[in-house]
Amino acid sequence: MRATALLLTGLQKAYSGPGSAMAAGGLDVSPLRASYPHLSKILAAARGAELPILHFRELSLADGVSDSAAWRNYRERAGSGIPISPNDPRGLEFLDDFAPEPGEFVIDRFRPSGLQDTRADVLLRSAGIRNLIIAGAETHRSVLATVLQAVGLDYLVTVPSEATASARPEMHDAALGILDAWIELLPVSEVVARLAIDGPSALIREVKNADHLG
Amino acid sequence: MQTIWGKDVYESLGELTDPTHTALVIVDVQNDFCHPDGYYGQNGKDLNDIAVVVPKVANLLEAARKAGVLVIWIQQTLLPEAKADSPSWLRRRTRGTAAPEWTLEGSWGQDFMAPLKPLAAEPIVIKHRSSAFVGTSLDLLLRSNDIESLVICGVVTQGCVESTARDATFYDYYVVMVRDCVGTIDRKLHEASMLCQSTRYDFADSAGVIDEWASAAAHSREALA
Repeated sequence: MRATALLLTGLQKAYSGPGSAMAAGGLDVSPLRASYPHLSKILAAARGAELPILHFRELSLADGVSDSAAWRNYRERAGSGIPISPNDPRGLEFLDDFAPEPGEFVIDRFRPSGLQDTRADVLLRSAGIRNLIIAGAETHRSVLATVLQAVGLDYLVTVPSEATASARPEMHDAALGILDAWIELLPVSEVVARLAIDGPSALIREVKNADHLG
Repeated sequence: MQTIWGKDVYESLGELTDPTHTALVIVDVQNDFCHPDGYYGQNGKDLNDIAVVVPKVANLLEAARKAGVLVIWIQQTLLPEAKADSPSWLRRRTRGTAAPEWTLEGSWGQDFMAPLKPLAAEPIVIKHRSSAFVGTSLDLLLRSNDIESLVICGVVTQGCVESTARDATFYDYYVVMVRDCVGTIDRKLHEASMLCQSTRYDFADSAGVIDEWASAAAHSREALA
C-alpha cells in the first residue's frame, strides 16, 4: 500500500528562472539554486519508489479574483513583487528540472500552504496517504505553512533539510529551527536511502495511540 | 434588512442578490449530464427537464454578466484511475451499478454544455465530490471577493446542486435557489429535493433575479452618468 507522498512547492521559473520576478525584486536567488541538486535527488528517489507526487503551483488568477484585500496586504508587506499570474505564462511554468511527469499531480495554490483551499487533502486521503515528504521553497514561507497545516491535518511529515531554501539564509535557518521543533528533519541522503530500501512504505513511523487508551 | 441579535440580516430579494456582494454559481452544466451524446443521454436517462433548464441558465448568466455579478463555474471531474476517489466515495458512486465514468478530465463530457461557456476571467472550480466546497478553492474565491450571497443554478437538483447549496449555508453564505434553473433526470427526486430545500433557504424565479440585476445595472449606469 502506498502510504507516503512527496509534496514539492516553489519550483517555478518566477522564483529563480531566467528573468525571475524574485531576482528582479532585488533578492539573491542563489541559495534557491543551491538546493536544486538536492531536490533532484529527492524527486528521482520518489519516482523510483513510485510515490504519488504533488507539485504545488503558486498563482494569482487574472484580475485579482483569487486575491483578498488581506492577501494583497500580506504580499506587499513581504515584498513578494508581482504576483505569478496566467498573464506571465513563463513565470508560472515549473523549472525545467522539476517539470511534472504524466501521472503526477499539479495543484494550483493561492495561499502559502498547498493544503489550504486546494484538492490536495482530498487526493492524499483518497490514496490512503498518511506520510508526507515536503520540500522546496521558500523554507520560511510555503514549506513552513504547508508543513504546519499537514501537522494539523494529522499527517506524519519528513522534510529533507538540504532540499529546502529561502533566498535569505537567516530566514531559512530560522525556519529549519521551527520545523525541527515539530517534525522529522532528515538529511537528503537518509531520505534517499530509505526510499531505495523501503519504497512507498518508507518513512512510516509507528505512532501508537496514547498509552492510557490501553 | 432585519436586525436579529443586533446583527443586520439581508431580507429582500434585492439585498440577497445585490451585485456588490453576490456570486452566480453555475453547477455542473456539463455535456455528460446535459447533452444527448453525454453519459446520461447515452445511458437512458431522461434529459427533458434538464433541456428546459439550460437556456434559462443562459438567460440568467447574461443578466449576471450585465450587472457585474461574479460568475463562478463548477465542474465535476473524474481523474484517471479514479485517483481522487476514496474507497468510501467509490462505494457511494457504485450504488446499483458500476462506478460511472463521467466527466473524465480532458474529455468532451467534462466540458460545459453549449451555449454556456466561461469567459476568460470567470473562475472554474473543479470538484471531485458533490459539494463544490469540498476539496476546492470555492470558499477562498468567494471570501477574496467579499461575497456574502450565492445565487445557485444548474444540475442535478438532488445531488451537486443541493449539496453545494446546503454547504453554502453552513459556510455562512446566503443562498438564493433559482427554482426554474435547476433540474435533474427524475421528476420525483427533483420535487422531493426542492421540497426539502425550500424549508432551508430562499427560492426565487429567474425572472425575479433577472429583474433585480437589471435594475441594479440601471442604477449603476445612472450613478456613473
